[in-house]
Amino acid sequence: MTANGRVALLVVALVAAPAAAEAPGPMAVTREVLTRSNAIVTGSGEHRQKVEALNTLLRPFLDTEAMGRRAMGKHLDGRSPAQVRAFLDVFRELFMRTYIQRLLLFEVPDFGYKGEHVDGDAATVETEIITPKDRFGVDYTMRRSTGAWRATDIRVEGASLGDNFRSQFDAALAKEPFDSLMERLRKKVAGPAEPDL
Amino acid sequence: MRAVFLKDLLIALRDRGAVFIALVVPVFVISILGGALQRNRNPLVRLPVVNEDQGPVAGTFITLLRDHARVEEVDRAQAEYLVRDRNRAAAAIVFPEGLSKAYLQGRTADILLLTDPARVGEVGRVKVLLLLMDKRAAALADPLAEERLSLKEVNLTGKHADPGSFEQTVPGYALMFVLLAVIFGTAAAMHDERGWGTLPRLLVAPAGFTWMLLGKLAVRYLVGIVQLLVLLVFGHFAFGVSLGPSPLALVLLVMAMVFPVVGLGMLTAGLAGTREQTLPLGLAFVLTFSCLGGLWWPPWVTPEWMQKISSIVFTTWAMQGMQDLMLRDRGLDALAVTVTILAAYGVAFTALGLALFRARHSAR
Repeated sequence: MTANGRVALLVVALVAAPAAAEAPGPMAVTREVLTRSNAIVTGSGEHRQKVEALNTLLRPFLDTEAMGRRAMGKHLDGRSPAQVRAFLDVFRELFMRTYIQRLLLFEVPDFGYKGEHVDGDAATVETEIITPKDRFGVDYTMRRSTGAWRATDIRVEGASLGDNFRSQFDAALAKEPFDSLMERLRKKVAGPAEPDL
Repeated sequence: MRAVFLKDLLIALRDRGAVFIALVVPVFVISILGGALQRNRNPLVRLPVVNEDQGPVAGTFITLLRDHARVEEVDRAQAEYLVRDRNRAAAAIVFPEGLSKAYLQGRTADILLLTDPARVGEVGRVKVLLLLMDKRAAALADPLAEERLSLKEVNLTGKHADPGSFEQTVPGYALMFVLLAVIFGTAAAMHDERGWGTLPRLLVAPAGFTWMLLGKLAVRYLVGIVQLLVLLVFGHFAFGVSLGPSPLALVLLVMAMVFPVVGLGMLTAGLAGTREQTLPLGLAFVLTFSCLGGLWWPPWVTPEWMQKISSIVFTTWAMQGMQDLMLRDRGLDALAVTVTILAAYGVAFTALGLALFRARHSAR
């Protein structure tokens, strides 16, 4: 098994473990994932390999299904289960790509952990990415389901990625039908992640 | 017929200088032109970059730009100095403070482009780089976002935001035709005195040989000034080419430009032993100085080694003076260095040409 595979298994184990007294809290889960992310971003390997490793690592941590439902909101009402599933699948790829690309912007990310606020099955974990010149606040909105804490939204410098997607979907669907938007999203997912200059 | 053939062949071969010039000069000119026409296949534009953001987004863009331009990280004052005052770069990019944060929040971010439109071709290439960077920016941002960078262009050197092709061709070709007319006219006029048999009289004239020659040069100088002014005024009325904010500066610059051209004509006369030799020599000077001085194409399209040579030839200074006047709306004060350098070239060429001509013909 590769190192990335072991890391993925570890994260899956962390987030999928049954709720117990020793079960890691939202801060511990987030810290573990970000520490592993840091190792991937700063480690050796080509860009594509890093993207794949991050994808494997982050997939169980990010609850893209909840994010996607929230981002599309009322526009999912009345859609067939197949349409909803198709959207959530495409959204997962888009969100993963967006988040990973932003993470990879930081060549040597140094994560700081400011605190966690737990309220039942909901929590917020406040972190920051520290660069030599600046600090970038990144807060994770977490939710516990089936005993595991998963991120349902990410706020970068106070701006919610979920809200960002929602406003973009609202604007797009005001001008084009759902199927047309889905086609565009599929093309985005199928296209190159980063066009070369 | 055989006798005439042999006689003319002997006469032709007797002028060894002409034979030498006929062979060596074309080789030299062909090498220069061939080198220039090779072009710089992938010329890297010099690109000052001001990183006020110091964040990951600007850092990523700078890394990308380094693959396609000679990026130099400088401060804002240095960038403006390079573009506006020294004209060493056609454009500079400013990544403003807070760019990364704005970008990561999903807000459109402003990028500042400081330009010298007198170098329109290079500015265009920088804009292409920014367009490609914008694509990359969109990919890095939210997937549906198309507009992630807002470009604000600031012209540092005048009012001409988008000069056309005539702004390059009118001054360039006008100067080339002045080179042709004045160099051939001056060199031929000097050797005509010898052909007419009046040269010995000039050599012993009471006014002095040098002063007599200077008198002849003055006529060519005046003709060259009028020719260049007429061509530029034609360009102004026919094609809308600007003549700059100051007529006095224009006249002064034209006078300074024609001075080394007349001097080059005198130098051609001094180097050529016969009237026939003035033709290949004069043509070599016209072609070489046109090519190196950017009269036909902007210097940045030529290979780097040629750009280094170009930076010291007088025609490059002449073109820079014209661009300062026509495209950068500069006046007399900005022309001081250019005019001084052109005058120095004029003095050097004329003095050398007179000395050579006098030495060559006094000895006969």
